[in-house]
Amino acid sequence: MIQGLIGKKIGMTQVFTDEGNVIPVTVIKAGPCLVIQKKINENNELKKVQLGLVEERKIKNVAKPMKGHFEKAKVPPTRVLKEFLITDEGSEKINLGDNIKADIFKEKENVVIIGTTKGKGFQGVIKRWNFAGGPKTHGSMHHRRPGSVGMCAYPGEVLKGQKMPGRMGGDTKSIKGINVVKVDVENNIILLKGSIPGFNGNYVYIMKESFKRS
Amino acid sequence: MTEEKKDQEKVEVKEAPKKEEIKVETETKEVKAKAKPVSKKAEKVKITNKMDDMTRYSPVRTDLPELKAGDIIRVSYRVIEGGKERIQVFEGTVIALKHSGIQKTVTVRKTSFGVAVERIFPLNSKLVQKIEVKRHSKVRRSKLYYLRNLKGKAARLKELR
Repeated sequence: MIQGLIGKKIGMTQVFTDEGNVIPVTVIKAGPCLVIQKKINENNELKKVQLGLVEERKIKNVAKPMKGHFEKAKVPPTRVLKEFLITDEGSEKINLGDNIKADIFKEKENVVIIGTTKGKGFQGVIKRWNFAGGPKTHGSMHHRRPGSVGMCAYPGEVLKGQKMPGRMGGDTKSIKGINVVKVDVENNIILLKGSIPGFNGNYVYIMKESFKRS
Repeated sequence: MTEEKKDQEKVEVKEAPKKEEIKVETETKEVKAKAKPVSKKAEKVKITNKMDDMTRYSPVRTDLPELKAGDIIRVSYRVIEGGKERIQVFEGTVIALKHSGIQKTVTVRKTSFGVAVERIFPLNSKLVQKIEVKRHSKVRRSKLYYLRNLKGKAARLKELR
């Protein structure tokens, strides 16, 4: 079994259950993905598979080296390429050009989402590190400042990793324990409970919770 | 002399486009051969790249009547109490409609035994079984919050005919 898929965040909405509860959901276009390359390790075991998300793409815009890469697998050019781990179970059945769909996930299962967060630009310590800030009035003059950044003559320097203002957001973040509310294989749609990192239209990786980083 | 020149030009003009045409044909043939998806499985995949309308994933109910502020309505609401299910009817005046699409709610106000009660119903909830409109009222605004400050005869609305 392949342990994940490439998806695209479409947006958020809500779903009503039969008991009348409201579940906030994120709609993700999950797959279909094509197997483009098999990654075999030193012991000749198939441990990884490279997948590509199927999307409309003009062939003239595909670079020549990439065109060759796709022709090797005998598939049309795909958009995003990403390696995914596979379990030993059923690994012999995987072939180049296989179509992987959203049905590898089940409803009520927990998944891991890896995506890029929204970029916030250069931010101060209150927004970036949740500092409390100083008093607003009574002549304070210490409104949103970071305060002291270190000690005196010893160590005589600012320690590494000191929380300071700077660029915030735009990082790759993974979020565990996101519940799958609905899987629609025909339309390649997955509904996930709650929010996920990034803008609408961003590409995300959806992993099974059992996956392990190699 | 002049006639000969003209003939030569004509011949040249006729020959030139032919060459171009042939060239174009050969180029397109090459491109097509490369573009063909070789695998049969790959051809079957539907390719869509449009950001879809969100209502597709959360369909909005269409079986309820159109509501307006000032309407007097009866809402049949499923209530689950101690494992048993029954239907509760709430009759009152619509004082506000909020949000749109799947999030749409209606605020209904009624006065029973001198105590005013307001309930907010999410219209797309499966617990709302049906809504009957009993009458429309003549109102001049979309939110009738001013009714909260009025009592008795003053809190009546004129019927729309």
